[in-house]
Amino acid sequence: MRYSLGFVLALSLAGLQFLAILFVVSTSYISSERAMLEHARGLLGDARLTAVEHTNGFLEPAREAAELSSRMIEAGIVDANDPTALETFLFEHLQTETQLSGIFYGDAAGNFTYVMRSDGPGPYRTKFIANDPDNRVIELLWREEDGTVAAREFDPEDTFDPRERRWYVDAAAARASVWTDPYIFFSSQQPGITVAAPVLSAGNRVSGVVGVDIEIADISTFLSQLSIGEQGLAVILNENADVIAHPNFADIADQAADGTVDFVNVHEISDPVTRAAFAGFDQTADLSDEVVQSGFEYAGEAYLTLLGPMTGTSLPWIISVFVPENDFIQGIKDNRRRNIWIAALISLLSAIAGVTLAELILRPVRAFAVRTSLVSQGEVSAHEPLPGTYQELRDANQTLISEIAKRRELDARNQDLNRELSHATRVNMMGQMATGLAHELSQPLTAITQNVDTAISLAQQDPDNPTELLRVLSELDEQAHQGGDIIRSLRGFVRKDTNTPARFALPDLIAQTCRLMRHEATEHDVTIASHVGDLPEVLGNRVGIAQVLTNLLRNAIEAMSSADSERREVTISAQQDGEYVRVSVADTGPGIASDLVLFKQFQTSKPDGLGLGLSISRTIAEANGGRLWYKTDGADGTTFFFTVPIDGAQT
Amino acid sequence: MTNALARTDDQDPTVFLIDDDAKVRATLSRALSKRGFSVRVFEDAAHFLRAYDPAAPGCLVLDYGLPELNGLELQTLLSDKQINIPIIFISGHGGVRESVQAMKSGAIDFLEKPFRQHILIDCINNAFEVDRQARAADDTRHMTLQKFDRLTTREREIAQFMIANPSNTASKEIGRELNISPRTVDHHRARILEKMGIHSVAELIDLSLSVPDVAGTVRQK
Repeated sequence: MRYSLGFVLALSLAGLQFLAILFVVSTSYISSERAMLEHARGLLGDARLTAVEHTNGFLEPAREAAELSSRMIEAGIVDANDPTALETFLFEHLQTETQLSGIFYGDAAGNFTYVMRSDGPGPYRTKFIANDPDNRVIELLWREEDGTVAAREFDPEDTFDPRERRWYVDAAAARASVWTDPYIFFSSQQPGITVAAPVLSAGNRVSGVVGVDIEIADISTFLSQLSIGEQGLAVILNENADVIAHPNFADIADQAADGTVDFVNVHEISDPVTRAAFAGFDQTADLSDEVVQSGFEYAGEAYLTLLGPMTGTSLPWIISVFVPENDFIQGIKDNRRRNIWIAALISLLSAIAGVTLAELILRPVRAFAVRTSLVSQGEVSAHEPLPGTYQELRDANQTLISEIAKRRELDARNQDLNRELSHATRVNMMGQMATGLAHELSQPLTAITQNVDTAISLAQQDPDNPTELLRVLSELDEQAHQGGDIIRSLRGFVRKDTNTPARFALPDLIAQTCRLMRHEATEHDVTIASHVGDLPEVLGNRVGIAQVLTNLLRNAIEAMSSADSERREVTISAQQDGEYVRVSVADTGPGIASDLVLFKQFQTSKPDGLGLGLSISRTIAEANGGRLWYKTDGADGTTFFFTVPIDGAQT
Repeated sequence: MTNALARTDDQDPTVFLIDDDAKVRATLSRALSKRGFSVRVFEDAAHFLRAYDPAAPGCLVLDYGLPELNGLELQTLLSDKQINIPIIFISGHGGVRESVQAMKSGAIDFLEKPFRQHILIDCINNAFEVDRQARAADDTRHMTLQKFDRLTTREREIAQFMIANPSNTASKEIGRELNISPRTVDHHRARILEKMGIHSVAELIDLSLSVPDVAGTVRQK
C-alpha cells in the first residue's frame, strides 16, 4: 500500500514532535525528580538536625540544673541535710527554670525533698520524706508563687524510697549525670524524663542524687510545629521502640488495663503512617550511630525516611523523619502530565501543520498529476501551459511531453501501417482470390464455349437444319460468355492499382512490422530477432512490402507453432545485394514438404489457410520490381528471401 | 505468284495451340477443326519448340499462363530466334500489363478466356494473312536477291547507279558517269531488265524499295 505524501508528512511531523517533546519531558522529569528527591533528603536532614538541636536545647537546662544543684550540694553551698534550706534552693531553682516540672534530692539515707509544679491548691508542691527508721514523716506542702504555704498535708502511707528509684541507682552507679528512660510522670500523668546527677562526698562516696524532672510533651509540640514538606513527620523513639515524641501527642500514651499509663510501642501506634514507617524496624540492627536514608510505601504513596541517633546527647534515642515523596515531586508529576498533554497538543498542531504544509506542497503536484492523467487520456494537449509548479515537475513535464509525442507518433505510424496493411491485405486477397477464381473458372468456361462452338458447327452441317438446337446452342454460348463477363468485371473491380512506388527506409519498416507482429509471436512463444544494418533507401510500395514481411513472418510463426518446434525463432536480416536490398526471413520450423507447390494459388499446408499468402507475396514482390524465393534446410527450417530495388536516384 | 524459286510450301496454314489445360486444348482444337482449321496442340512451350518447323505456315494460339516458360517469355524467345510466327495470346488472367507487353512485342491480339469464337477466328484468319504476307515478302526478297546475283559486275554497277539516282536514268548520263558509251548502257539495261524479269527501270527502283537489301548488297560488291 502506498500512502499519500500528505499523510506521510503529517505523520512524520507529528511523530517527530511527539517523540522530541516526550524525550525532553522525560529527561527533565527524571533529572528534576532526582534533584527534588535530593532536596527532600536535605530537608529531612535539616528537619532531623533541628529536631535534635531543639530536643537537646530543651533537655539541656534540666541536665544543667541537676548538675548545678549537685555541685552546689557537694560544695556545701546548700546544706543537703537541712530540708528547709534544700527546699528553698530547689523551689527557687524550679521557679527560674520554667520548663522543668520538678526538682528533687534523695540522699543515701532515704531522705527525699521534692519540689514540683502543681495544679493546686498552690502552683508548687513540696514533698518531704524524712526517713527516720523510727519516725518516718512524709509531708506535702503547697506553696504560692511568693512561697507562702497554701496547704499542708501528711501522707504516712507513702512508702516511697528514693534509693530504690532507677534514677538514683543509675546515677550512683555511673557517678555521672544520667538520663532515665522517659516515663509517664505519676503525679502529672504527663510523659517526662528525669536527669539525675550524683552528689559525691569525701571518699568519692555517693551521698545523694539530685534529680530534675522535665515533661517532654513539649518536644511533641515542637515536632508538630516542625514543617517538613506538607505531610512530613518527625518521630522520636526510645531504645525500646516506644514512641516518646510524636507530632500527634495524644497518640503516644497507652493506657493499660490496670490504669497505668505507658508510652505506646511504635508498632502499635494509632498513626498508620508511623506504623508503616517502622514496619521493618529492628531496633537492635538499626540502632547505629549513622544516619540512614531509606524509604517505604504506604497506601500507594512512596515515603522518604531518615533514621538516626540523637546526636549531641547521651540519650539513646532514635529520631526518624519521613515525608511522602509526592510532597516534593507531586508538582513535577503534575508538570509531567501537563507536559504530555502539551506534547500531544503540539503534535496535533504539528500534524495539522504537516497536513496543511503537505497540502500546500502537494497542490501543484496533484494538479500536475491530474493534468498528466488528462494528457494521457488525450483530453488535454500536452502543450497546454503548465499550472504554477516546481522546476522538477516542469522538467518531468517536458520529458513526459516529448515521450507522449514520441509514443503518439509511433502509435499513429503503427496504426497507419496496420490499417494500410489490413486494407492492402484485403484488397490483395480479394484481387488474388478473384484472379485465381477467374483463372480457374475461365478454363472450364473456355471449354464450354469451345464445345458449344463445336456443337453449333455440327448442327449447322445437319441437313435437318435443327434451328431450335442452334438457338439453344447460341444461347448457351451467350450464357457462358456472360459468366466470363462477370468474372472479368469482378477482376476489374478489385484490381486497383495499389502500387505507387515511393522511397522509404527498409529498416524502419522492418522494425515497425516486427512490432506489429510481436503480439502474435509472443502468443506462439516465438522470438523475432532482426539484424539490419545501414541500408540505402529503397523504392517500392511501402505497404506492399510490409505485407510481404507480415505474410512471411506469419507463415514462419504458424509453421513453428503447428509443428510444435522446440526452438522457435524467426530471424530477419537485410543486406544490400547489387541494386537491390535482399531481405531474408529465416525460421527454425520443420521445413517445407517437397510435394507442396508453393506460390500456387489455393495450395496450402495450413489446415485453415486459403493458400494465397505466398502467391500474393510473390505477386507484390514482383510488382515492386523484386523477386521472392525460398530455401528449405529440412529440419533446420526455411528461409524466404525477397528483394526490393534500391532507389536509383540516390546512388 | 507461284514460282520455282519460291521457298514457301503450298501446305495449308496450321493453328499451333499451346495451353496447359487439357480440356481447353481438346475442346478448342476440336472446335477449330470443325471450323476447318488444321490444328496442332502442345501442352507447353518446350513441346512446341521441339516439334515446330519454322517453315510451316500458320499462327500460334498461346496461353499466357504456361508453367515454366510463360507466354511472354516464349514470344521473346521466338523473336530472338527470328521466328516470326504470328501469335494470338489467350489468357485466364487478363492482366493489362501483360497484354500491353504482348501487343508491343507484336502479338496479333490478347484474348481473355472465355473469348468469342468469331473473334478468335477473325484473329486466326488475320494471323494467317499476316503470316502469308510475311512469307510472301520473304519469298520476293529471296527471289530478287537470287536474280540480282545473276547480274554481271557491270550490270550490277549500272543497276545500282539507276537505283541510287532514280531521276537520272538516261543512257547518256549513265555512260558519262561510268565512262562507257550510251549504247553499251542501253544493252546492259536491256540485259538487267531481262534478268530481273521486269519491264522498266521504274520497276527496278520499286523492287529495290521493297527489298532494301538489294542496294546494300550491290554497293558492297
